Amino acid sequence: MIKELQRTPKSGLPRPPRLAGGARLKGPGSRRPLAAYLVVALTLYPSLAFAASVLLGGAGGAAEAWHELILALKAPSTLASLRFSLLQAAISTILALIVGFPGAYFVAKYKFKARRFFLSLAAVPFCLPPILVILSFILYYGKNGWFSAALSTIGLVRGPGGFLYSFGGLVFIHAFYNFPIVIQNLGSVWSRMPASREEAARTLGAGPFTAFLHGTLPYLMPALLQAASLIFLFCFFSFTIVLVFGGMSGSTLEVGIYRALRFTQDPAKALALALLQTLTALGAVWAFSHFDGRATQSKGFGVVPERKKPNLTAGIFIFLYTTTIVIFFLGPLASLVIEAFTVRSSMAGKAVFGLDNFKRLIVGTGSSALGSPLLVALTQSLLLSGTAALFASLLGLIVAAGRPRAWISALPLALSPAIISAGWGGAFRLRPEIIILIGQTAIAWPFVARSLEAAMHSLDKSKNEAARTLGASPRQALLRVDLPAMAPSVASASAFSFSLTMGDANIPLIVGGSRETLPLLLYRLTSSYRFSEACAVGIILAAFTSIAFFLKEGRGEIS
Amino acid sequence: MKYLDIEALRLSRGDFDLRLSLSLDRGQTGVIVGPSGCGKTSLLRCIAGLEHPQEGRISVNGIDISNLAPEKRNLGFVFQDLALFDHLDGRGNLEFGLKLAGVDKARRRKVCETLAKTLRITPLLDRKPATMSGGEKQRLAFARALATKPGILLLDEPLSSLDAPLRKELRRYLRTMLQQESITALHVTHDVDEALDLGDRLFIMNKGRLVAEGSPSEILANPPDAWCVNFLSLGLLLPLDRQPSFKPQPIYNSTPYGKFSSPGKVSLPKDDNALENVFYFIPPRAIIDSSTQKFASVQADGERDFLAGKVESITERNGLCHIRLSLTRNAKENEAEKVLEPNAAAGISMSALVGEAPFIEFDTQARPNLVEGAPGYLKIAPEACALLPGLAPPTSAI
Repeated sequence: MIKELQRTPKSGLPRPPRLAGGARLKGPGSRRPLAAYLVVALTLYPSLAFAASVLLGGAGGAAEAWHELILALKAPSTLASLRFSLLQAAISTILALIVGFPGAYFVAKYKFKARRFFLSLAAVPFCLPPILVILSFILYYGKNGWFSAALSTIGLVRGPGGFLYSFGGLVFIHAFYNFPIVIQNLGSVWSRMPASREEAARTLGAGPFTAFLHGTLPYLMPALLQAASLIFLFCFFSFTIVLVFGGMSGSTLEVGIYRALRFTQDPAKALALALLQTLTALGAVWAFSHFDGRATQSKGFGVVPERKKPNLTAGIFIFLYTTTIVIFFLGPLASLVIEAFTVRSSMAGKAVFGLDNFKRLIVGTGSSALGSPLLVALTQSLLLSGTAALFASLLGLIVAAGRPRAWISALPLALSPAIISAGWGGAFRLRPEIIILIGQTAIAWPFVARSLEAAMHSLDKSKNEAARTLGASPRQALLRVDLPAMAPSVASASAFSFSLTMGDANIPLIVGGSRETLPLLLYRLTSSYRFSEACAVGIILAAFTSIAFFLKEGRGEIS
Repeated sequence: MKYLDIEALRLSRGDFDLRLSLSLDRGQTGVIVGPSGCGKTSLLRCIAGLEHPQEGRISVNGIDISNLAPEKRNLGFVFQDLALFDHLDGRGNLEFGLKLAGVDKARRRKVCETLAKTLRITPLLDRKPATMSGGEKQRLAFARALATKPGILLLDEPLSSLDAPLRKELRRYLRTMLQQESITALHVTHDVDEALDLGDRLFIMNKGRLVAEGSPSEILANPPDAWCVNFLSLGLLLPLDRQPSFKPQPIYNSTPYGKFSSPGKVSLPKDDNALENVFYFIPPRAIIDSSTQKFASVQADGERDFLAGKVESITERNGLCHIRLSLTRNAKENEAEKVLEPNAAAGISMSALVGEAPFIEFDTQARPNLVEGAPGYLKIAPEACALLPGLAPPTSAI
């Protein structure tokens, strides 16, 4: 039971356990947060440098720069961006909670075949780059998509192809991209919850619903809010998906920053948007850290009821739920795979199964823009992302080992990647590749730090102490006992940071430059409606980004 | 008709099978005791309606509650983990059931204050459970279950999470409260001391069956089988290595550790096959004398009714001497070497470690004439002993 409670969560964002009152469990070794604070400071620095350059370096002096900033803050378009960002993130989060909640319940309470599948989905938001999700949703729900085709075959109205490009489409994609987080985080807390409080309410005269309200819901709330604040944060910063689908209905702050930096050359505007974004995100980061700690606190030690075999009613609901997820979420992903291996002679031509899409990418089509694109992009991607992942792992390890306060290591989550990149570029006039490298390192290390922090906390302190009593020096105990126990976590955190950096299209798009990467190639192919080849690139990209997922699966961590 | 009446209850789930009948008078405290996994908690949950037995009828005060939802049964349940509502303060927890019963605010407040005063928890009313100590939570959980004046109070090992001194204190508290308020209660525990201390009636369970019931003194005086003796640590059990002969009188009972005369009580089933597992039970009170040498009278008696061994330890505490004697085998029986293994099915182990000799522990008031580490001899009064089956059939055959 105790072991059960201390098990670290398996999602991409494990959380360090905390004691009541905010006291943190002490792992082996003492706190040495100095290096950790240095890393955080380095991440914060470019944003501050950017702000300083806007406010102090303007042609008209500081006063005018301030004036411009105030104007930009007051501009209706700025407020519209803020409103749009908040609204789409809030509605996406609510939708993701609605889609994920039944899944969390089923996973926690029942034994069924698809249970493992639902838990495995948790890796999707972290291992599947947004650009792949975009592509697969276009293929499936687009005008000529499978879903629309299926609807018209069974005699229903032809699917509304433009739906994806509306506000509704945006939140729909966000919800289906992020709902596995709800299943994982809520489901794991729910499945470890003793039934006794709900039963106590029943024996005191409460019906099933009142019993749930008092015996279960208050204890689910921290996990629910933790998942909600994380999803809110992801959707609030959503860039690529909004860039592609949100255009008609509005633009998020992050997209606004990108436009202000790249197209309108309006740094004051970018800074204004970034300020609003960071202030809002800080709230979400605080909420995430706060509820994260509360969600893992063990509440009660009563007997956790065993997962039941579903009865007929529950079985029907589980079947319906699984079918819904397969149709709406797995369908797009499957269509991506099939499309990659489908060769069309022309737009309306007969489709055959084959590898031509891959061949064309490797050989090139003769068009100058995409010479022999795949191999170049792949090499560049591996080189850039591999290095970034390595740096991110190192920095993450330093931060995790220093064990700073939880909210400090979560702080970088509130920063705009666009501003970080612009800050480095402006401050040091670095080459685009280097900026991409630094930017990707900066977005990946907080995730590595958090997952390693959780792994360190779950280290059995008594094993270190046992080693000490058996004659090991502190260093020997660390090397021979703690590090071997940590090794799998370090490996999976590194693989995970590789997934993040490899799939990132955000920073290369913002920084620009001539270097091609897989996500960029994918973005370009998608924008020019060359879907079959885009899918082929997508398959190759997915093969790399899902390494972390398969590492975890292979170790049986997802169960 | 009894106040609480459980008739022919059956709950089957996979390998587990619970079958029993049980009843309790109004105002009595029944204690269900048994090893973990024997089904005692399941029984309590069946009464509360949290488990759904396949068969049987449960009635409280003449009212059949078998088919009612848990919230309609009007009973109090104190859970092992207490299951306090952490989002409510002490008062909120206490008033929870009253609120659901539709009791108005003024009345709730009054009931709450009175109950808090009686149970001495007034300072807890405005505090959240997270700020309470283990003992305080315990009292609050107990009070919460009593607030709605339940027809019966069910306690599922509520003291098991406390450390020893606190457990003792709360046990006393619980006993006082139950008596003072004359509450009918069914208490589940695996702690034998707690059971003997709290229960007006003891129900001993094993593997989903009731194996003994009675007042604590009845059960202590007349354990039904060797399993109960072992579970309640009532004394020494020696397996017979030869079928007991019923003629000529007196019966000679041969064990690897000596021969014993006809015991005061023989409770063997009539079924002859069951005689294969027969134990000679020697309670500490059967020891009437001790010596460092063989008793003179023993020789005259034909080497019967004594235990020989080595004095392992003599410890003095509260004016009592506690002696532990490990037995040596009867030298003359060495050639026989046929030691009946204790009934494994009954879960009886004669000694903790394989190869360790069985031992007997007993207390004497006077300083005994035994020496630590030296041989010791104990004279046994066979009238105080019993011949017991390994495992008696369940008391309530269904």
